[in-house]
Amino acid sequence: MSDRVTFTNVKFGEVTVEAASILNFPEGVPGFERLKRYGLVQVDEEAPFLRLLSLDEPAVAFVILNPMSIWPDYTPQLAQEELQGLELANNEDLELYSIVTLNSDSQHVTVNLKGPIAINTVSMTARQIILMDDKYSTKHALLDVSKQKEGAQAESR
Amino acid sequence: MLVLTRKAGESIVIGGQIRITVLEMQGRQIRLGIEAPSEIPVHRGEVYERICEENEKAATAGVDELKALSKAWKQSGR
Repeated sequence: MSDRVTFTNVKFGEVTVEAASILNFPEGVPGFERLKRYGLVQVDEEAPFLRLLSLDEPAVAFVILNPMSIWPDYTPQLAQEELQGLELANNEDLELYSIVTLNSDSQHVTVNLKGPIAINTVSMTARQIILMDDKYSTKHALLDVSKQKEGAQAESR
Repeated sequence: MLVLTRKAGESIVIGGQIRITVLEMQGRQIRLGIEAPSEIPVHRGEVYERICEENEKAATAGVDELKALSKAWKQSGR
């Protein structure tokens, strides 16, 4: 019998997660330092997007994704001091996710590549790391606008 | 805001765990040294604020927007 936790989110309704899948953010995330616990929810139809729902504040819900699965060249330099707090026993235990800024117009959805969320998947501890360099943006366009233009050209023929 | 005046070489200790030292002044810039436990993140104010701002925009994700996005994502053929 597994330990399950049920909580409510204002937009996503009642959510039940395995206690073992609860992510702990010891320092919260910038702007939401008080909120330490999040449920990570995978909904197959929503792939590659995952829901990160606050257990402590029903109004807070993030959508995240694995940036490397979309941009294989995404190679952020993570400082050792930043990762120390996660107490990683092995590098393989580390997974990075990026927060998606949703928009009523899907074409304007962006991804924060400058503030990846680093997760120790064994201890289920996480923190949002702010990258030092300016290589990546907090507002990286998700959908490729140029592909949309190709579609429009095909239609006009 | 607590306001203190320091000379180069002098420092400020916060909560017994964080020490900020004024290293040197170079024209209009001041070099600061920060010693803090590794679990306490230290960032330039304007960078921290940009992340806060983006998190705040992203924090009220809704089911409808996510559904529309999933659909658009699949249609984009990726």
